[in-house]
Amino acid sequence: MMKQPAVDLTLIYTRILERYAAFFPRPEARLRFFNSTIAKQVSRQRKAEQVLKRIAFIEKTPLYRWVMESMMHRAIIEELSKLVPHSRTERKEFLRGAKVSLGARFLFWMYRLRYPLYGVGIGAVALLLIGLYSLTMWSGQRLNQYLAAKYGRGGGGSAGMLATKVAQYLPGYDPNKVWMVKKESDFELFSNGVRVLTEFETDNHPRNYYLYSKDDPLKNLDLPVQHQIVGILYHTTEGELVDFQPGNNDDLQRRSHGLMAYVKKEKSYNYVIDRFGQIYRIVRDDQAGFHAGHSIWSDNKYTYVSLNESFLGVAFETNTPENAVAQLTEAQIVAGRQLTAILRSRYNIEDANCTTHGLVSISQGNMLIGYHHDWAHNFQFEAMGVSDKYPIPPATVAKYGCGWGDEIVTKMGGSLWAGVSVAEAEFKQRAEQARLKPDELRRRMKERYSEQLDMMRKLRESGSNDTDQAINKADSTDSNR
Amino acid sequence: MEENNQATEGGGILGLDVGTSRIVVATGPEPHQAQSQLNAFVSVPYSKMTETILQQNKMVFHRNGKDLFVYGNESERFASFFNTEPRRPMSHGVLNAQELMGQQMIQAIIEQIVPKARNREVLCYSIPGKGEGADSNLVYHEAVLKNILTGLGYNAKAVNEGLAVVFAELQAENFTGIGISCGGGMCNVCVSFLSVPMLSFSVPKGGDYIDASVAAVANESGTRIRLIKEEELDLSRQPKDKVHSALHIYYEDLIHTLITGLSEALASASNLPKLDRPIPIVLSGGTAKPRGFMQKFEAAAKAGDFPVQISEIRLAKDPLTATARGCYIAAMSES
Repeated sequence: MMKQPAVDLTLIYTRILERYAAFFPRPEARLRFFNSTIAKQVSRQRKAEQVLKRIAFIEKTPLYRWVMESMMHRAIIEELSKLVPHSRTERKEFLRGAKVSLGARFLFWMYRLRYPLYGVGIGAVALLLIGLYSLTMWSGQRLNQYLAAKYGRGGGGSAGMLATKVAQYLPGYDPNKVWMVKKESDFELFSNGVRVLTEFETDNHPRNYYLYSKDDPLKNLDLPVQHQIVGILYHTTEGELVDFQPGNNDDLQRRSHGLMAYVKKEKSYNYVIDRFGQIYRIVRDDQAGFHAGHSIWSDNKYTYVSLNESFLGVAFETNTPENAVAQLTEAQIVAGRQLTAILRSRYNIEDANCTTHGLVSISQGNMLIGYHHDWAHNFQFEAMGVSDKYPIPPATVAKYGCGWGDEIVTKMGGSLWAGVSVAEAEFKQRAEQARLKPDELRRRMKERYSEQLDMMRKLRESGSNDTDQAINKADSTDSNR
Repeated sequence: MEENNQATEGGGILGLDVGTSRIVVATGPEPHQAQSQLNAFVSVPYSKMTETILQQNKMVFHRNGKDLFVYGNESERFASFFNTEPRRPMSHGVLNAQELMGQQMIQAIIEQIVPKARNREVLCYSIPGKGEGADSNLVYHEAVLKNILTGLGYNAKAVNEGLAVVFAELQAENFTGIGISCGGGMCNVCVSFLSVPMLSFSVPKGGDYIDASVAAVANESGTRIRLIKEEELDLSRQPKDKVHSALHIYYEDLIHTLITGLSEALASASNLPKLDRPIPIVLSGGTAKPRGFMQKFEAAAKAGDFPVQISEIRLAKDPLTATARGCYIAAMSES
C-alpha cells in the first residue's frame, strides 16, 4: 500500500494548501505536491509535539497555531521550489499560467528572493549602525566645538581639519590642478614639483580610434574618429631587478638607462618610472605607444578597443616574480601618484579610466582574459589617487563574454579579481535578454571584436601606421608579462 | 478503452486495475490511454485438434499437462463456443483460493497487457479495502500481485481502489471527496482528504453477487443475466419482467449496503477532519454503468443520514478505466 500519512489536518491547513494547489494543473504534479507537503508538515508537527510535550499547554495558544501555519507555508514553498521548472523562461510561463491568488504568488516570490532580501536587511541594519555611529561622532564633535567656544579650549583635531585649515591660507590652491611650470631641453617641471625627464622622448604614430556603445558594443556609434587621451593603463616592465642597495647605485642606474633605451626603441610606453621614482616620458602623449595589445575597457559612456590608441601607458620598472606579486619602491609610489595627477589634470582623465594592463588584456584567438597579467592583482590604486578597479566587472567578460584559462587562475593564486564573477553573471543576463545561449552571444561578440579590429586597421591604413602591427608588436614586446 | 491482446508498448510508468472481472492497464490519465483484458479463462482437455483450432483462430492459450487454457478476452468467445462458463482467477476482489490455476492465469493475463519494465519504473496497482471476510486474503492477494509485477521489473506499489478513483476524478476538488468503485467482486469506498485516505472499506457485494442472486431467483444462467445487465438494463424505468425486477431488487440491495456502510463508517470515524464545504461522491466500475444507477444511488443517499454534506454525486467520465487511470496518476506522482 502506498504510504500515506494519517494526519489531523485543520481547516486552516486545507485553505493554505488549496491556495497553492492551482500552481499545478497536472494531476500527478498536484498529487505529488499534496503528498510531499503533508508528509513534511506531519513530520515537523510531530517533532514539535515531542519537543513541547512537557509544556503541552502551549499547543492551545495562538502562538503555536501561528508557528504551525508558518511551518506549513515553509513546507509548501519548499515543495513549490522543487516542483517548479528550473529554467527562467519556463518558470515565468508556469507562474503566468497558474491561477493562483496574489497572496500566494507574493509569498512564493518573497521566498525565492529571500537571500537578496536577507542581504537588503543586513545592509539596512549596517546602514542604520553606520548612521548611528556617524550621528554619535557628529554630536560629539559639535559638543567639543561648543565646549571649545565656551571655555576657549580645543576639543581635539585631526589631520583633515589641519589640512583644511592650511588650505584656507592657500587661496586658489587645488591639489587636483597641476600644470607645467617650465620646459627645459631634457625635462619639464610641473606645479606639483615633478620633473618629467624627456631625454628618451620619441614619436610613434598619432592617436586614431573609434568609440563604441557602452551598453551594446555590437552597435556602431555615429561619431567621428577620436584622437584624445581618455585613460591611463599601468604596467610593469618585467625586467631583471638588482638588489635595491646603495652599493648597487651604478648598476641600478645603468639598468634603468638600458631599459629606457629599449622602451624608446620599441616605442612601448608613454611613461616609465624607474626604481628611484624618476619619471621618463618615452612616447609623446599625443602619440600611441605599443603597450596595450588586444585590450578592451568600458567606462560609463563608451567601450574602448585596442587601448594603445586611447590610453596612456605608464610602466613601473619592476617585475612579477614566480608565485609572488609585483611591488614598488616608496619613490615609485609617490612618483606614480604625482604623474597620475599631472596626466589627469592635463587631459581631464576620469577616475573610471585609470586601470591596469592585466584588467584589460585579452588574447584574440581564444578570447581569454589575462593574456598579459601585469597588475591583474596587488596594484595599489588608492596610492595612485584613484579608485580600486578590481571590483569593477571588466568589459572583456561582461560585454564580450571572454573566458579564462587555468593558467591565469593559477598565476593569480587560485582566484581572479572580484569583478570577474559579477561580469560573468552580467554576460549571462545579457544573453538571456537577447534570447541567445551564452555561447552563441560569445561567438557573435568574437566576430564583433574582429570587425572592430578591422575598422581600426582600416583607420590606421588611412593614416600613417598599421594598428594590427601595433597590436601585435605590443603583444610580442610584452610577452613576458 | 481498447480491448487488446498485446502488451502496451514501452514499459514506462503504468497504472493497473486488477479487478475481479477485468484487468485494466492505463498508460496515461485519459480514458483512451487504457486497455483491458477479461480476468477469466477457460480450460479444455488437450488434444492436437483443439490445439490446432486455437492456433488457426490465433487465440492466446497456455498448455499445462493434459489441459489447454484460453485466457483473457478470448476466453469469453471460447466459452460461448463450447457453451461453458469461464472460470475466474479472482473472487470477491481477491485471488480465488478455490481456483487452483488462479495464480498462474492471472500472471498470464497481466503479462499479456503489461510489458516488462525498462528501468524499474513505478507501477501502481489497485487493491481492495478491508472488509467483511477479506482481511486475511487481502495480504496474500497484495503480496502475490506485487511478486508478479516485481518479476516484470517494476517498482510496484499498491493503491486502494477507492482512492485511485479519487485520484482519477477529483483533481478539481484537490482530491477531497469520496471515491466508490463498484466492481464485479466487491465495492470499494475511500474517503479522501487532500489525497490522504481518511477511511476506506469494502463491501463484499458486486456485479457477480447481483448476477448469481438474479440467476438463482430467475432460474437463468449467470452469463445471460450479465448480458441483460450490460445491454438492456435501465434502473430508471419500471422493470418489465421477472429478471429485470430481480435486477432492480439486487441493485437496490447493493446500493443500500453501500450507503449504510458509508454512513456507519463516517459516523464511527474518529480521525475525520473538519470540512468547511460539502464534498462530492464519484461512482465508477462496471457495476455502476447501467443507466439509472447514479440516480438510484443519489435517491438512496439523500434518504440516508450522512454525517458529512454531499455536494454532488457523479459518475466517473469512464467508469471502467477510472481505477487504472487513478493508479497511473499515483505512479506518476511517485516517479
